[in-house]
Amino acid sequence: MLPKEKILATKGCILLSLILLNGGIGSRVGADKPKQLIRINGIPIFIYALRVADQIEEISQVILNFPPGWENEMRDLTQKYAIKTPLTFVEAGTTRHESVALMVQHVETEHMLIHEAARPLATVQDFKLLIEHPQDNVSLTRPIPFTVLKKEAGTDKIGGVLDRDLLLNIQLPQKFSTATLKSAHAAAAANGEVFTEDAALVFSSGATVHYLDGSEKNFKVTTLQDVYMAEYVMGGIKEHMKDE
Amino acid sequence: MSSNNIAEKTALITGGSKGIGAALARSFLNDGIGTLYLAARPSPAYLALQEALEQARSDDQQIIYVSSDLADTTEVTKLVDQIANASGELDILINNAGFTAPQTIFEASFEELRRTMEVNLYAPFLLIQGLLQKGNKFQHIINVASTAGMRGRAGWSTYSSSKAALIALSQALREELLPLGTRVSCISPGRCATDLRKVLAPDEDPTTIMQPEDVVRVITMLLSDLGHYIDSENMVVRL
Repeated sequence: MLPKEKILATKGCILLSLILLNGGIGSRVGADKPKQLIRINGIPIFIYALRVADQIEEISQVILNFPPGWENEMRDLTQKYAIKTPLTFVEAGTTRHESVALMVQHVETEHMLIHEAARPLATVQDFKLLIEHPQDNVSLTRPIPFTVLKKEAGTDKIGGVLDRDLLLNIQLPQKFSTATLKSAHAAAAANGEVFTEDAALVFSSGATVHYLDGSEKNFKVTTLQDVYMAEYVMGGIKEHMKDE
Repeated sequence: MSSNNIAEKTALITGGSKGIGAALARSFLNDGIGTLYLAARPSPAYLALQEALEQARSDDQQIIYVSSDLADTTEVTKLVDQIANASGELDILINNAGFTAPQTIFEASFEELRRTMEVNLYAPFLLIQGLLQKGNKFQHIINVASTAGMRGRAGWSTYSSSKAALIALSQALREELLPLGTRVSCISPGRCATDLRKVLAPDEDPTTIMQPEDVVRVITMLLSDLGHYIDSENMVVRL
């Protein structure tokens, strides 16, 4: 039992690296430590995605970024939680964009996945949808259930109406062709552009990005309220709800 | 088809030389267990049981007899390493070993309190933690507590408090391990005809009370598919 490294099924199994993004210091959740060390039901939030990765044989490596000074604590936690997938730790950049640009250099597979630790409710199925998708560049998305309007720049006036049926709420995980993502980052660096996420980056570089409907459960934990919500959803059906 | 979830599995029973542990070992063999670890302190009873089990097991069943004092944390760690270095997962863990030295607080020694805690609480904690941290995926953990842990009783302060702690540990782990697909059950037997009971109630006629085999039937039921329908957060088993 208990191999030190995940046993990889190499026969007919396409391997992918997973970039797992961790946020900066969790000021919004009100904790004075990095966001990935926020705990949901007592478990550090970034462990959830690593547990999912452990269950997916196609994921051959997880590349995690760590805020300066936090590498040892994160490494220690991955050992205590017995994470089996090989891990590569990369120091975080100053922006998310910069972190991905640094982390993608460590990807050794033809295709790769990007996920963020702040979505601890992503499931094996969410990842499988992307892995099995025939296209190279695919993002999970959600519909936008509310009305969105444009601002008129520099004024307090509404500047336009957006048709929400033509808009998408970007969700993670995502899958990309590694070469495409690398060249998109190189092009952005050459043009001095910074993107807040990678579907927009890859699209802007001229490549085609496809979308798939993700799960409502896979929400992003940003506020203390979200922490409570995640704990509630993970708790499943409470004992008293089983009673008539 | 309904499964007993025992056949071809790997299990560890602590306190496996006598009483509930020994009866459970026999039952597991009957139910087709694949690999069985038994842990107990060396004793003539343990040797006799080993002979009987060797007669009873079939050729494709393996029994690993561990002579170990679970009050000693280094021996617990050795047991964890032994199991972790073997092939395959430990599917079933039955934390059954128990110790008691019933005394009022006027007479009890700190050493007795410590040994009671070491066997009844620390050993289950360290076995579960050690194996989890080595990546073991348990199917089911059953902790054998006691009705004495649900309410303290004069003269049993060390035993009652250790079993109360085991019940609470089980409740916490039940929630912690649920996301990993591991079930954690706790049973609290009432008086049962074991050697430990003889220490607690020396004048009682053991034939008039619950037998180890009765508790074993409840444990195997909890392990089975049927057991999923039973609330085993702290299940009282008593005649």
